[in-house]
Amino acid sequence: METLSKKICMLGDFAVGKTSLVRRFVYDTFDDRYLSTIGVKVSRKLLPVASGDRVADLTMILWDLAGSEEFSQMRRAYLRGAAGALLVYDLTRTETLASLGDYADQLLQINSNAAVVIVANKSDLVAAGGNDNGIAVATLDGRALAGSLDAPFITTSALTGANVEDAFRQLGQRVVS
Amino acid sequence: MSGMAEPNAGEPTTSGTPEPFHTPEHASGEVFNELRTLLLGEEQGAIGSLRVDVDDLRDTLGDQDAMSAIIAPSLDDALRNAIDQNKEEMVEALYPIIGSTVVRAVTEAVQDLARTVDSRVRTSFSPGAVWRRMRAQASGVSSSELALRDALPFDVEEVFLIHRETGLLLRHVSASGNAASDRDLVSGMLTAIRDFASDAFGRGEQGQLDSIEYGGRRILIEAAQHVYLAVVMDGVEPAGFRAAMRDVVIDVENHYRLFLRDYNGDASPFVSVEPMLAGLAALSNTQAIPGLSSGQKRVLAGAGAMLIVCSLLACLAGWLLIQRLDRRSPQIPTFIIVVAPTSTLLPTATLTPTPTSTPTPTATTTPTATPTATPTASPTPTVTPTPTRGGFVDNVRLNVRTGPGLDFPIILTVAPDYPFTILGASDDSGWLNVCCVEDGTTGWVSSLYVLVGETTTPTPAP
Repeated sequence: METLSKKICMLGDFAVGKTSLVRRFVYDTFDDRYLSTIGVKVSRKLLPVASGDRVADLTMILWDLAGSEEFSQMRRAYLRGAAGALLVYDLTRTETLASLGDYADQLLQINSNAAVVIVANKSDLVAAGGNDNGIAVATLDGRALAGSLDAPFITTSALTGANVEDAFRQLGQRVVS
Repeated sequence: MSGMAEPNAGEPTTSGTPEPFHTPEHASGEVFNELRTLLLGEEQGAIGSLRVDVDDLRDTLGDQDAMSAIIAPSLDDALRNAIDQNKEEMVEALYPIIGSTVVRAVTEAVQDLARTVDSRVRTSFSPGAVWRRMRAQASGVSSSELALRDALPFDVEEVFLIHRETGLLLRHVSASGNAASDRDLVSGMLTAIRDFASDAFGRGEQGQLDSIEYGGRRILIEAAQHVYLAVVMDGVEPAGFRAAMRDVVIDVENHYRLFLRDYNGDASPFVSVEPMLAGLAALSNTQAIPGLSSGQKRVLAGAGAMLIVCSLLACLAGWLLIQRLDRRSPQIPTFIIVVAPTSTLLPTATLTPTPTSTPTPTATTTPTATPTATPTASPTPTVTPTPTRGGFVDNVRLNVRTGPGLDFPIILTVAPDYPFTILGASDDSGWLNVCCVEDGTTGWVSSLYVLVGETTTPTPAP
């Protein structure tokens, strides 16, 4: 079986749940304070990936990039060499979806072959809050963005773990293929 | 007082029931107590309260932890204020305590260093010591200074080979042999820190982060176009270590350039670079660090080879020049003693200067050319017999020299009566060229010690 390593970036606005996705489901050794000091924290996610006739042990080196504005300048440097990215937004805050297009543009400018997956996080809050109109719009717009980028769209919950593995797996398949 | 009963002094009561016994002293004590309460009641309360406080304080003093917790904040503030206001006085006050500790620590460190230097000096004839002396000569410092420099602590802990753009770990080597599982994360963070430093401080400049220090530990970084090398080390790296790192990273870059440019995340081809990284990891101050990079060594080797070739060419040119000068220079006339056959016992020697370099007494032969094909009875070439004079050593042990003078080296010393054939003489006739010494070689002897005598006549050639 092939053994591959790929650099993957976690992109999205502040407090959309990127770090929560990382913290609960990947091997994490560094303190979260790195995010607020240099704007990035590196973690690892291992998973076997089958793509077409290829099967590989994929090591995803996850670069969790700070979503706050002060690191926007640094982000370009951190995106270099990324094979793919999880673009994460918060289902309960529709404004966090608006900036995903910019993140995707930044990434694809630097690496046009990068694979992306659109992740609508905090689905547990949607279930608790009922079928809110704004949330439905956010979901539809997220799907539309995914369609324009030819990327999968997945709703996840870092709290319950729903679909988190699937989001990483789909991205893994895309970066290996 | 109104409440006080009249005492029945000395008389029994009629009822037979005993009355409470009140002596005058007892009654006065109660009165006094009551009076004291009236007069000092408040003070007594305060004293009681103080007594409780004193008991509490006594308990606290007995509990050291509680005491420390109370005193520490005040003490900290007091110390801080005192240091701020009287720095020099505080230093003087603390010197007797801290100074001796510092001195002891420094002394131990210097003793360790001295022991290391001493052990190096003791092995002064080892190849390493010889190499150190050569390096010292080349760098213009004394070998002891270089030994001191080499004795400084230096240990390589880990070596990372990292893809520059992605920050992915290509290879990792640890001096201890333990491969930590999170090294790929460290390589990612290291790359992030490099990117951060480059973006935050290096805008518009070509520079890059080339080392990170944390206490005594350092991370040295050497980068090529697609890959960079990070070495985690303790102490002070020796001269030439950076060059060694550069050589490794350039070698990797050159060998794997195409692979690195479009790196797909498969690090297995980099297994072959592990020995190079292990070589770096194995370097410590117990080993001699090469002072020159391989590029510098190649240049030096080339220069050495050029020097040797130039020397050979110079020798060849000199030899050719000497040969040419020899041909041009007039030949030194030598003397041949041609002895004419006479009827006298002592023939007269005629010294005839002959412009030949070979002082051989020869008979002149005149070959007759026969133009016809048919051989006829032609005169046979004849050799004019030229008798040569002989001699023998007078009653001394005589030195035979390579030339006509005392400056020439002695070939051997011959005994009295040793016979010679005299081949010639020097200009002033002070020296005779004689033959034959030992295995037929010629030599020169002083004519003062040779008795010229016998005449020998060479046999004519047939």
